[in-house]
Amino acid sequence: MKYIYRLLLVSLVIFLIISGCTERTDPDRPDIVIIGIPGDADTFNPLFATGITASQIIDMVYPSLVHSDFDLEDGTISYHPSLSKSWEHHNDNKHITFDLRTDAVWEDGTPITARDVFVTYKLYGNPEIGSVRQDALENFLKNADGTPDIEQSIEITDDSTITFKFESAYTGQLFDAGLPILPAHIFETIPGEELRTHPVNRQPVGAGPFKLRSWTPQQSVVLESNDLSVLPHPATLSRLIFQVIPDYQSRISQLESGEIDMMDDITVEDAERMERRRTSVNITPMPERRYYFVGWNNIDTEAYADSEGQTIQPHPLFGDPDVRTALTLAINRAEMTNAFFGDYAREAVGPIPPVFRWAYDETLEPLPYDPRRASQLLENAGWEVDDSGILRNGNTRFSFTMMIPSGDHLRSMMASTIQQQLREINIEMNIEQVEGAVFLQNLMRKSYDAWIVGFMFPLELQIDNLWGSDFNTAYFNFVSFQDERVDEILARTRVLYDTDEAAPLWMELQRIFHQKQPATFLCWVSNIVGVHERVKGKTVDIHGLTHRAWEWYTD
Amino acid sequence: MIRLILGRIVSSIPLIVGLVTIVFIIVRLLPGDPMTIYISPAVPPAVAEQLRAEFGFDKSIIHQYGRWIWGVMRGELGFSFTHQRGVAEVITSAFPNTLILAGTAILFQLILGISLGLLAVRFHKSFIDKIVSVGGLIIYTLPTFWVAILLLYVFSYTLGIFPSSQMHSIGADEFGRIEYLLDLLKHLILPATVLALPGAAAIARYLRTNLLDVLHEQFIINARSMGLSERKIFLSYALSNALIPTITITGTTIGILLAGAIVTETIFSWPGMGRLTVSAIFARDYPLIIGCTLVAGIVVIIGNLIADIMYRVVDPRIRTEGL
Repeated sequence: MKYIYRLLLVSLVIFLIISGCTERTDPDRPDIVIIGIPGDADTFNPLFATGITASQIIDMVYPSLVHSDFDLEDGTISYHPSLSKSWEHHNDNKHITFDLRTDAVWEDGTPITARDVFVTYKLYGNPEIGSVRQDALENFLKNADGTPDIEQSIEITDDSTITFKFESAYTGQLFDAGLPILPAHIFETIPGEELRTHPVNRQPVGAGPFKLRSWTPQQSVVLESNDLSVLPHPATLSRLIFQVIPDYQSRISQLESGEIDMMDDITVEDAERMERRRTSVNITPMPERRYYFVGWNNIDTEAYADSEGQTIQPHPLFGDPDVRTALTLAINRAEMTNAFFGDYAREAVGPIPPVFRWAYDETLEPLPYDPRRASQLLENAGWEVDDSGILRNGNTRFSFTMMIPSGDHLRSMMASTIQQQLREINIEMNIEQVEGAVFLQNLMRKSYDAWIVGFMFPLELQIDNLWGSDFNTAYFNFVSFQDERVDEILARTRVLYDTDEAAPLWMELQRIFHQKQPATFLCWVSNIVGVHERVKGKTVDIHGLTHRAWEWYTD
Repeated sequence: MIRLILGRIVSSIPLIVGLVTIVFIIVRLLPGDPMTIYISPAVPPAVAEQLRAEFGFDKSIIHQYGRWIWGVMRGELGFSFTHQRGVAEVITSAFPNTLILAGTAILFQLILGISLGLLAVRFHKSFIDKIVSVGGLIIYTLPTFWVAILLLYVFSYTLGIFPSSQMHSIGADEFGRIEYLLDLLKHLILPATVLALPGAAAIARYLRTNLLDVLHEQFIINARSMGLSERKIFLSYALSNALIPTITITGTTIGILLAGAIVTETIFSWPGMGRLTVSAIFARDYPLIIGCTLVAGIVVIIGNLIADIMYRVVDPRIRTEGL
């Protein structure tokens, strides 16, 4: 038996050596910040990158003509020079000429010129490549087949002067001209069919304040300061590390123990607990861009499907604005917002997020929770309670199915709450969960009657593709809302650069939504971010977690 | 022996083909178009169709299956949507990590299981014996995620002895070889222990029961009557006989280790096959799901084959029957 004891003794010694020989992760690592992320980056090629992490890294590694900030005070987005020193609008605001910096170089020392910009946009616009950012070229000059004509849309005057020509003047021009720029001397040599799988997608050659040091798939992405960068300067941090930690509990525990310095999407419970305990983690809500609403299909889904999209007639249940208003009155949105998100959300009134302060109508009060008034409106619309206790209007019973994506616990709870509250006004609502891809596919086909969606509002105040009447271009208009005045407002605000002129129109749009209730808007939710107190210089911006990360430093 | 190995390999081929065929059909028959997730609605319909065709989603399932099998024969497993790389490349980067974790777990479960089994026999009917028996049963039945969270809480968050996630510390690429290896070991201990505990408990209980049985066999009494030392009797006669089922258990636990790795790798952020499979399923990355299934199937078959071979090596009776 002696050898058993020897074995145990040897094991103990090995255990002590291993546990003692390497130091525990040091939370005082100077000039290094670690961000905990749930999933790995997919690719570092902006032509194909879809994930949040990849997009954040691309923004810090690749140059772009302009850089944007969001002013939380007045709710406006502002553009600053980056690769371009300055720009000028001309030809009735249809053209913008950029004057580029002449001192910017790629990591390999090659100077960045206007040709890099031109070649990059040719790649974005090439239909055979199928870039995920192709929609940003929607307003460029077009070929006869409708694809972007980059040769006509972008004109190089010399190495440091380039002009973008758009089909029309609109407020999002700088946003569309601000896509990440790729090195032409590398990407021109890669055949189009190899672009999706080429090694350069994992070894980006950029010019931003950070450059890629290493990428260990499923483990970490390590960025380091790019000493050659003048866009705007090499990062203050020596390294910025994205550590992949898929499990939320592990991520939050590591944030509290100091193994990582930052993470987002913290739950309300954890945020409140950390604030109560006064840990070394500062809880910062990033202002509301995420929102939830209940979609009521305004049009008859069966007639639309049977006619292959030709017949548009009111939905038998939700086609009447008064009925939709009744549904909103019957749902206690304030209570739901408070129960699910506490202080980190705000009850929604319409489709404009409160962060766009200049456009948001603060005077518009959310409809109250008033089941009695809801019943009255329904009665006025001809709905009466039948023998089974459910509303009926002629042969139509007020019974429908609320669709939600499976595995979404929050939306499942929301649906259950709504189901109970609607039952109180004699409406029968069933709940059905479907797989996420099926859910999205059927929303696009307009085959659902009712559903709950969670959207992220874009950085630009443009909602044409969400609420425009033309279903071919308004591909996210799942509720099939159509309103001529809304279309006029959307068309007008697209070309109004002056917020003072545009603000009254946005306010009018919100009043139309308030009156017609195409959907029941539930709440605007903040993204709760936890930042270790050793990280300094981090600003809160709706752009995302790593906005201006090149200015961060540590104690 | 070579004939046995070749025979088993040949007979495994239809098994693996059957497995991946079933998985292929099941995942492709799921409702919904996976390309909806990857193609922006803003992409013109013609481009969307072109991308769909590029990935083969415009063809029938049979055509897609034929195309996939043809790819497998050429060493290609398709293209992962989520990783934007070839499936073979993605799996190649994750598989060695699971091999390290599972290999260490097997080592742990053998050391721990055999040691505890021997202790239980040495102190038969004592308090230690009861602890090994009852404790082993409890550990065997505990859910992997619960044990993982418990060990994390105690050894990582409270005592700070072991790191809570990943394979290496930050900046490990700058370590010397020894320090790099120790760093890896330090990261390995908690996940490997979590993976090893159920197997160790099973081995300890099996070994205890078998050893107690063997010690009462006639040949042990004969050996004693021949005047052999207790040490020789125990090691050469009793233990070598009692260990045979342990080899079978170890072979079959390879599959269990892979299944357990799905939970363990996710909790400990271990970048292996388990985590890869979970993320592929959630993202509906069909080519990757099928690729992971193929690899898991092959590993389980190889594990069972190794167990068979070892069984024949240590048990002369089976070896003779095999001939």
